[in-house]
Amino acid sequence: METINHRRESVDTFLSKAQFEEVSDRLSNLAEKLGVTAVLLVNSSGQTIAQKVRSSWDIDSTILSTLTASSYAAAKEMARILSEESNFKMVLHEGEHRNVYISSVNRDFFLIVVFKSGVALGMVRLFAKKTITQLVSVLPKRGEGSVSMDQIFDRRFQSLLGEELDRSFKNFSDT
Amino acid sequence: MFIHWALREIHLKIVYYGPGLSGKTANLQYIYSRIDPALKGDLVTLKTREDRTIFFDFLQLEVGNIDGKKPKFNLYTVPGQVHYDLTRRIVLNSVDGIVFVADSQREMMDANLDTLLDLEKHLIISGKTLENFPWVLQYNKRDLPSAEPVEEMEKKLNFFGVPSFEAVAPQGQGVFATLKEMIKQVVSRAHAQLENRQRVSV
Repeated sequence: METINHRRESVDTFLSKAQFEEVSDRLSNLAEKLGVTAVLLVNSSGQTIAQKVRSSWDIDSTILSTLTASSYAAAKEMARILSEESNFKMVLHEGEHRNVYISSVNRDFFLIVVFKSGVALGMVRLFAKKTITQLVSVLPKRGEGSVSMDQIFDRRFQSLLGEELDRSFKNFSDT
Repeated sequence: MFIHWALREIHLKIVYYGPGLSGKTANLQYIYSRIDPALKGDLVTLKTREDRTIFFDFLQLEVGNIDGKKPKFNLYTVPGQVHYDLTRRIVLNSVDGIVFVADSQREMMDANLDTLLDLEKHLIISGKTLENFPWVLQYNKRDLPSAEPVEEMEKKLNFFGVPSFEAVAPQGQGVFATLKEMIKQVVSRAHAQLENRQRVSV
C-alpha cells in the first residue's frame, strides 16, 4: 500500500537566452563527436529545451520529448518500487535501425540521444556523460531565474490572449 | 510552467482528469478534429487493445504570437481506471491546471467523488490542493437519460465553487467553453504567482 510521505515543489523553470545558446553549443559538440541522428535536451514535463538534429530528421520533436519524458518518469517509479535510491542512470530503447539513449542530467532535465545501431553504445555513454557534466553547470537550478511579471503575464497579455482565444474558438457553437 | 525565454515560448500543462470512460479522451479528440491545423500538433494516444487509455493522450495547442510571446498549451489525459493510480501521478507532474471530467450518469456519482479525492491525494504530494489550484469541472454526458441534475452534481462535487460546464464531448457541446475557461484560470494564476515572486535574473 502506497503511503504519502513526501512533498515535492512544483517546477517552474525559466531558461534565458544565454543559457539556451550555451546548451545548444554543448549539444552540437556532442552530435558532431558521435555523428548521431539527434540529440535533445528535455525537461521533466517533456518540453524540448534544445536540440541538434540532422537535416534528414523529420520526426516531431515535441511528441518524441513528451513520450520520452513519460517513459523516463515511468522508469523512475520502477526504480522506486525496486527500492533503488535514485532513478536508473540510463534508459535504452534498442531498435533494428535506431537506438534511443536517455540519461538524467539532474532532477529537472534529461538528455536524449538517437543513434544508428552501428554506433557503439559505450561511445554514446562516454561522450554523453561528459556533456551532462557541462550541462549541469549551465542549466538553471529549480526555481532559479525568474523574470519580472511585466515581461510575461501582464494584463495586456491576458487581454490579448483572451481575444485570440475568442477568435480561434469562434466557430464552435458551444463557446 | 516552463518559460523558454530565448524562443519567447511559455509552456503550460493542462490535464484532463476523471473516472474511467467519463469522456476525457473524447474532449481531446473533439478539439483535435476542429482546431485549425496550424495551431495544433499530432494527437498522441497510448491505449490498450481494448481502446482504453493506458498512459495518457497528448495534444499541443498554440494560439499564435501574443504580444511577442508564444503560449503553448500541452493537453494531457490520464487513464481513469482505478488500478492506474501511479500512472496518473506521473502524468500530473508539473501540471498547471486541471479539467475534471465528471460522468453525469447517476450511477457514476460515487466514482466521480472517489476520483476527485484521488486527485486531491496526488495534488497534496506535490504541495497543492484543490482549494488553491486552478481547476474547472465539466459535467459530461448530459444527453444520457440517467443524467443527474446539474444542481445535484454541483452539491456533490463542486465544494469550492470552481467554474463548471455542461457537456456532450463527442458532439463538442461544452468542450471549447471548458478549455477556454481553463486557459484563463491557468494564465490568471501564473500572473498572480509571478506578481508575488521577486525578480532574480534574466
